[in-house]
Amino acid sequence: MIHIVTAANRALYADALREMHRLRWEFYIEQRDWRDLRALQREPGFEYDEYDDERAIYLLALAQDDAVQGSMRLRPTEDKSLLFDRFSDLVDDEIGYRGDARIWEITRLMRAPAYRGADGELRLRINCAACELALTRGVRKFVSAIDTFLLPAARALNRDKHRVLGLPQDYREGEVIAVEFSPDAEWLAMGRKLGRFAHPMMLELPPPAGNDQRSPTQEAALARHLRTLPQDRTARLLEWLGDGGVDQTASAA
Amino acid sequence: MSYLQRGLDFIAGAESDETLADLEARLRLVLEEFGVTQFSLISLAERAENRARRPVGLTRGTTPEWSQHYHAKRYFNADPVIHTAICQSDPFTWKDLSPRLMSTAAKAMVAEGREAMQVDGCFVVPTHDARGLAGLISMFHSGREPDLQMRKALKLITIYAVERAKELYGGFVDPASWDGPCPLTARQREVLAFSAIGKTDWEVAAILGIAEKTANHHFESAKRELGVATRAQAVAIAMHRGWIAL
Repeated sequence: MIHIVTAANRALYADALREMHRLRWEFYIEQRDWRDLRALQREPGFEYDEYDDERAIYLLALAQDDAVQGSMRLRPTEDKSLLFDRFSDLVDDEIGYRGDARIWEITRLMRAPAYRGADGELRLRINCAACELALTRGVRKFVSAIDTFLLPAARALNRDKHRVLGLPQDYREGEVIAVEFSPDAEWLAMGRKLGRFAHPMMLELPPPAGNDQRSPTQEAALARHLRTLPQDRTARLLEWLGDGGVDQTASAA
Repeated sequence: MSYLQRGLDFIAGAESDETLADLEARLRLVLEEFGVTQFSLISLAERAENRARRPVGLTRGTTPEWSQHYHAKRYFNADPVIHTAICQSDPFTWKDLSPRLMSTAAKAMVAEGREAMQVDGCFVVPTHDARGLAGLISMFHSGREPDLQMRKALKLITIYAVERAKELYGGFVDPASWDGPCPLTARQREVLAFSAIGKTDWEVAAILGIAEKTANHHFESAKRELGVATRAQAVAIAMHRGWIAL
């Protein structure tokens, strides 16, 4: 499952988020040597930026022992975004793009070292979860500044659901290009077929007071998740969810 | 029309092309708009059974005479463009090729190519993915070399052309000279694969648990088998023909 971590349920993921920021440090600061980003850091060993705020939504791929396999950050763009604030020259003037509450930005898509194989299965799982989230939140587009060398992979996974927004440009850290993605039901079906995924990928745990607001789909995702957890973590999760518990026989698609 | 728009129009059209011939015709049209008179596309398609890569060529972008000459002389063994493209992902021109590092055959190939195609230069865009070189387009031109923005647009076009060519590969017939069994032993392929990712003799020996001298012997015998002078050439050929992969 890919866990959707919002401001409402972040407390449940404190350890995993901390690990995600550590992996981000390893990847972006140490391996990729993004010097401008290093200059912004306040706590060595853990990478943060100004977009890690209350509006940020993290997609966390967690192993059964809660180890972070990979992550992605999503954020609405109407108030600020990395692409429009820092990399605006990546977007061609003729395309004339602006931030919008229904256009979210993808940043910090990262996989832990053990999951950086060439088959892209984890990336596909995260992509499907992002698409599922977009459909539930009414998001029209994702935008992202990606390394140009990732464009073939982006094309392979997204086909006609992506388009480039400008020509590639050189930066100190490499060559980057702006890309827009259109998350819709067709895209999701394509992603699930590619990955041979039988079930939805995203799991969004509600805040403790939110049990009565869970949809049948959320209930089914929770039930599936619970069936994979060891006993001690099941107890912790049920405690978080409160009195309502989970219908562990739920099986909505 | 802006460079970007030309690139976007090409991408949209290429995705709907159903044959390599259609793609080639579309590529020719868009490259002409950038002053490219002839071109050669090589895309490394993967074999389904073992994921080994083999080249798919759109060689009709050049004159038939030059194409035949290139294959008759077996220039793919010496082609400095392919050797350079394997090692670097940034676009480059013929002028960027270091004469010091070029074999006699490579120098002859460039000189003959310039003469036969009546061109002033060549701009090459390699594309790389997680497994190394994914493909390239050599764009031959007369007159000035493309400026920075043109280069960026040509890179965008190349990425989509190479990927689309891989998908359309089904009906394409490879040049016969690229076929045939691999003459290298498993050990020779192994040392070349490690060399391709920058390992020294000492490191290769340590990884394989053999003596450094033995590792060097495998390199030398691989070079002899392929009839080349340098280790880089041996690596380039082995990758080019899908005998090793990164």
